[in-house]
Amino acid sequence: MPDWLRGAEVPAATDAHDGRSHTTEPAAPRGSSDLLSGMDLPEWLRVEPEPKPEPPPLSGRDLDWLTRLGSIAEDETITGVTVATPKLPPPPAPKRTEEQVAALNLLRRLAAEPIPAATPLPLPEPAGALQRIGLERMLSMVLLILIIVTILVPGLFPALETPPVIPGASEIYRQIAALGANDVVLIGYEWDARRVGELRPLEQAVIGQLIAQDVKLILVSTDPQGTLLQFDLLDTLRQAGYRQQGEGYLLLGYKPGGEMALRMVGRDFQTVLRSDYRGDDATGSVLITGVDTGRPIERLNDLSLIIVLADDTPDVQGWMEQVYPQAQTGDRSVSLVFLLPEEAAPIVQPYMRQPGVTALAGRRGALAYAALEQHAGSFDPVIARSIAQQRLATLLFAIVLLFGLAGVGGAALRRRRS
Amino acid sequence: MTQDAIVNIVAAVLTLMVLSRIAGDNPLFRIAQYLFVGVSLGLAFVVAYHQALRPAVVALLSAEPPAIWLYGVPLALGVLLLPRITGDQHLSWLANIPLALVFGVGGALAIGGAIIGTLLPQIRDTARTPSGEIGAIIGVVVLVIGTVLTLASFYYTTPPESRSGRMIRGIAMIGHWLIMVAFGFFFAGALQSYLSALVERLNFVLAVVRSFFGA
Repeated sequence: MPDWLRGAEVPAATDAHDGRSHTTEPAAPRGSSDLLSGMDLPEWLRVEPEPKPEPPPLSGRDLDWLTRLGSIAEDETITGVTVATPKLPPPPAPKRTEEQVAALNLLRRLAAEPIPAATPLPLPEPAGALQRIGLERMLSMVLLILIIVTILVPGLFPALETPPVIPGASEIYRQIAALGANDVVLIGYEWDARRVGELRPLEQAVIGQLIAQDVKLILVSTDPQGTLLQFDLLDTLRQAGYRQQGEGYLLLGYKPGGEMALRMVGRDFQTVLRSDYRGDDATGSVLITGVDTGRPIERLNDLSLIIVLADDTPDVQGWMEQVYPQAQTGDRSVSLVFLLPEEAAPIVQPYMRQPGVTALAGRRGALAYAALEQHAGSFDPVIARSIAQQRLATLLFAIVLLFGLAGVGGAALRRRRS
Repeated sequence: MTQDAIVNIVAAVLTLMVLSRIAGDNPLFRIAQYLFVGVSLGLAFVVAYHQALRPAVVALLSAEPPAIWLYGVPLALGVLLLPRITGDQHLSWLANIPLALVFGVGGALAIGGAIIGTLLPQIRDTARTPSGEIGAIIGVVVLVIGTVLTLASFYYTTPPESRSGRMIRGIAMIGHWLIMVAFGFFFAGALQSYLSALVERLNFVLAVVRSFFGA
């Protein structure tokens, strides 16, 4: 190695305290990272070594590994001479706007001021009875009391006891009235106990007419609660003199699988019949082989009518998507009748425009259907009372709602004024 | 006291417990709510056991070849779901096989059914040629206009500053109000349903109370 390279080291030491890098130039040819450090430089190029600041005393708290390592490194390079780098002038202070200056002054003043003592808040005024109970709750109670009064005092408004007129009711009535003891109707029980207020009257009106006409029934369900409600119908059938399972009626029970089960009802009705509610094969039963009716049931299109008691929109959708297309194909199409709650009726309205599909919704539908069965001039007073109660309840709700709106509006107006 | 009378009293008390919600949330309402959920689940299990599981197992035990295929394969697929219960990640992939089958078949059925049973009939119905009656013609025209306006309210891809964008925004506003009217119609249906249920339950409770006092 040439002389000027001999002894050249890389002792670039970083001051652990101020983070600046100090290039050290040894008096001897070692201890400098500068390439020219080994050379004999003219005097004007030599830099006087900067005095190294004293290392802080090592306290017990500083005796971590970093400090100790730093000390060792400093010990090794302590012989080096630090080259002073020219300090840059500090950047000019940014010009602050008047708003910034004002904000700074405000901050300084706030920091200087003592924290003010908390002043107690004024006690809230005692709430009135209406505020304590709440307007909504009070209106609900008023509505409840008014409905109870209308139930307890029948005949308050005789004008409300006229039977409702539902367009689809008369068509369904005609369809069912045309059925007889040789017809077989499939009834889908897709509702649960929550809808008993609406679907029980519909069931009594429509299926009651089928039973009165001694129509053969096949009962099926894809809803667990609907399955239980099917069993409720068994007592009615027995009381009406229907023959046993497989002859006067056929209870298939629960068919698991939702849409898949409905698909099977539509496409492969014989497979559905292979297991009734007891697990027995019903394909050889009197009702299915047509011993009494003269019309064996081999496929869906052999049925006379399909009635579905559905409590929700997806039930109607499932039957319309999986069963209805099959019921409309072939040489003999089968009509579908849906018995629904009022809540589902508007949503399934588009399906009801399809040919061969009709629906009867809610208590009003049941009452309209029952009214069709009554002879002129002998309208059942129980049905008349039910009709009046339903109408009065709707009317009372509207009145209570208007009062509530007026109350809320008045309160808002008072708040705005205050 | 007959069995029917006891059942009616229990039902009336439960109805009153549910109606107590009108005075705010309270333990009576909660008890009735939990009871309803528990009974519903219990009933669902009993129905599933007696109507689906038990007949399948009985048929499987009969060891007839068709029954073995008919019920054995679903049973094996059902067993594959069980590793998910243990939470053991090594075997949980086995459950993917029956789940994939269920979701695949269910999806295919739903899509196929929706296209054939819902979409096509409704599109066809919207474009139905009106009969000669004035009322029917007006109805079809209103239906078509309403459908277009409602669909326009979901059209978001035109720049709002452009002329066509402003026009579509105006049309969408009308469509938006048509949707509001439809929601109002649905709400009215729901209101009728709940008022029917309320009237029926109140009639029932009052009938039980009257029978209790011999009226």
